[in-house]
Amino acid sequence: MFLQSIDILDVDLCVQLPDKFVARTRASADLKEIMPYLNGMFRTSVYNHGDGSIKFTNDRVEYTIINDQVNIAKFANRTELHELLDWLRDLINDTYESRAEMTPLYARRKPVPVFFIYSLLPGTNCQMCGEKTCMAFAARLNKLEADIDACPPLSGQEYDASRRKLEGAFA
Amino acid sequence: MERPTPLYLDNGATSYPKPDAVYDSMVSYMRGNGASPGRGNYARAMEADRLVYETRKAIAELLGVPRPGQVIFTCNATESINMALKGYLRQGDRVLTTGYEHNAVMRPLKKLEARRQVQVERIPCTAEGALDMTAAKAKLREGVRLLAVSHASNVIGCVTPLDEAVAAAHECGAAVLVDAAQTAGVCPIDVTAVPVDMLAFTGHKGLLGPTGTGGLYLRKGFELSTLKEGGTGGMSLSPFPPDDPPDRYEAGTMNISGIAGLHASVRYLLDIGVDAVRAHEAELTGLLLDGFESIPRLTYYGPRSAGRIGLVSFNIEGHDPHKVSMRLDRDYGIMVRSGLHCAPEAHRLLGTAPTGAVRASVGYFNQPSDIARLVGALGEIASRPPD
Repeated sequence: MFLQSIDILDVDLCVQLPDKFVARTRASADLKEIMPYLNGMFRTSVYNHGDGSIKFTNDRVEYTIINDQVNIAKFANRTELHELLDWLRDLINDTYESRAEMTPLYARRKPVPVFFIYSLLPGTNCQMCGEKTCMAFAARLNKLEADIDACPPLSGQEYDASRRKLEGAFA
Repeated sequence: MERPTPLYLDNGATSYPKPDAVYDSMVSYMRGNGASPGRGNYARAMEADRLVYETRKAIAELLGVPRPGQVIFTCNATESINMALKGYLRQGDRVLTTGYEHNAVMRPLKKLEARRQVQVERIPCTAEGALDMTAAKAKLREGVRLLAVSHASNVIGCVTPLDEAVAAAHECGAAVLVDAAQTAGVCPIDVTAVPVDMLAFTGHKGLLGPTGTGGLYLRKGFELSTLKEGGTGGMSLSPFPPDDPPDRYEAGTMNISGIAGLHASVRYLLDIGVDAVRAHEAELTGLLLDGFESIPRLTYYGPRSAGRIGLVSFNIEGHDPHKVSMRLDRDYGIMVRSGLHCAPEAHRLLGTAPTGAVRASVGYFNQPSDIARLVGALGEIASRPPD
């Protein structure tokens, strides 16, 4: 098995979200080799091949990996942290096993400009996404902290073209 | 007079013995770790944290629970059932249940009848525990909000057809609470295949763990108001419990030494397989029923089928059940339980209230020779005048 374990070093409160936690953990192997494959897998990823680091978001939880260090942010409690570590370990091991059939992505994804995103949103400030304005939601999308699915009006037929453009930009 | 070799046949109350790994795991945690999980940031607290998580994960695997975080630890099935009933039922709600429920279900419901005007109705059933599902469906259609059922009766030994009951309840918009106190670890359970909303279990019976352990499975997104509030190790500035399970429901330091034992016992069950336990207990139960049928004036209760769990309640005509139990212990070293088994409703159904019956309950570590010994002893008792 490529990765035996990911051990928790410490857990602290999340500064951004007071009802969530952050954790520093250490993997039993250097994960540099696997990063280009993770980069190809997550459209939210920010990968730096030179530094050997990658950051991505999955299901609202943020992962930052630097060599064997894995930082996880915005989880609800320690039980969820263990679940996430199990998931990540299995994902990394499955990826390692299947890497011959996968295409690594070495390029760094460019952030999608905030105003470009904003121009494709409904602009109604309906707040259904949880943000006060469409501009605030665009800023969160730009930082990969939100998903376009969080905007229900975008699923409507009248925004079909905008949605497809946004999906293309984040693909 | 020399005391006979002890023979334990009260596994329906609590299982004995436990797998050796259970004792070892508890001592290992207490001597070698001793830290409180979910709170400290030092390595040993993290190890304790992992032990608790691995136990949730093992239980999740055994019961078909999708995510370990859906397993909430309690101190027994009674606490789990109280948490479920008091956390879910609101003023004037209607609840449908069976006629063979344990007091762990009936007493909280009685309190909710008085405090929240909850209306409790029962599904008609036979003395063998067969539920009238046509009547149940008719009652469910009348606006029942919760179906609360035992997976198996601790007196009659009958097993509730959960798939049919759950489908009928969900069709009518009612949620389902299952009391699996007698079945977790001895009957296959899969809460994904049979999608119950809540399932209460205890650690010290079929799961072969220590007393003071148990839990409640909650379907994803199914939220209860809390039974207790207190420290959860995080978000301490908030005066309210956290929103997310399991922390939301687990205020206070847990029974970690118990959970350490439960971890070992559930791992043991996963290794041998619940199907093997079920097959072994079915064989012993079959021998028990055969033996009882050979004893004149002995009446046993519940179905004569392979579907029942490994406990059989019985009476010997003219003999007081308590005295039969005492004689078995005193003269033969055999431990069984007499009385109402905390389930007076079931005994009313059988016509054995208020004195009750004697109950023999087998466990994974019993052997056919144990059954032969019990049957022989009861044959002798039945042939003599009562005490």
